[in-house]
Amino acid sequence: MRINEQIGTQPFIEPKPYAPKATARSGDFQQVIDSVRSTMQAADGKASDAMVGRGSIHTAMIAMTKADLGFRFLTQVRGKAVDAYRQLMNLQF
Amino acid sequence: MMSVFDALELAGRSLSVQRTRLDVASSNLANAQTTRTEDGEFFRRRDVVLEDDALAASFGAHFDHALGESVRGVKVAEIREDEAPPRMVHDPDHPDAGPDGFVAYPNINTVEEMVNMITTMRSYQANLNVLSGLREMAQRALGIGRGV
Repeated sequence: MRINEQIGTQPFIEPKPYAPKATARSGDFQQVIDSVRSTMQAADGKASDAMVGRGSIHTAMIAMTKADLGFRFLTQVRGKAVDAYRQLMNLQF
Repeated sequence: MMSVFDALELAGRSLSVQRTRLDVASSNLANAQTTRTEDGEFFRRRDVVLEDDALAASFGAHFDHALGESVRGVKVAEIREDEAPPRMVHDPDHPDAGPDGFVAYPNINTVEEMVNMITTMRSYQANLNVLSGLREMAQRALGIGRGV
């Protein structure tokens, strides 16, 4: 049994007009920042473990790659948010 | 659907497994001339047996596995001892020689271990290539909307 086949047999659902109920709050973004910070701290720990020969090198490198990708994505999201804010601030009436 | 981090985790586990294989090959090579062990027998060659493994211990992962839709990681199932008989060498002056003058050397073929080592290193390299491919893809995806 494949989930996708089951979905394919579902009756067609009428599309509803888009009605956002809740907007993202600053707390949500704070959570994302915190989780990225925890991946970075994990990477730090694994790197120092590898340097003293306690862990393997590839584990440390993978943890660092995870932290790197997470942080890059975070900065991209922040950049988009700041861009949107600037666009709004430049509106002329 | 796996996240990028899951894919990194998968490749990382495979790297760890290959490291274990190299460790075992190195132990076999180190003990190729060993004539005594703690349990009084000859040293037996070790072999790594690999097994597929769930990537995460979550309910969703088990559900996907039951549906045959999961991506499977790898783990070391066991480190097995080779049952082959020892290599008997006639050397009556050796302190570990039996009453018939034969010494039981381990059932380790150095050439075979070297070949195992080479295949292990190739697997390790292949998984490193997977990792760099993943990183490349993620970085390219981050460039979407910036004119790539």
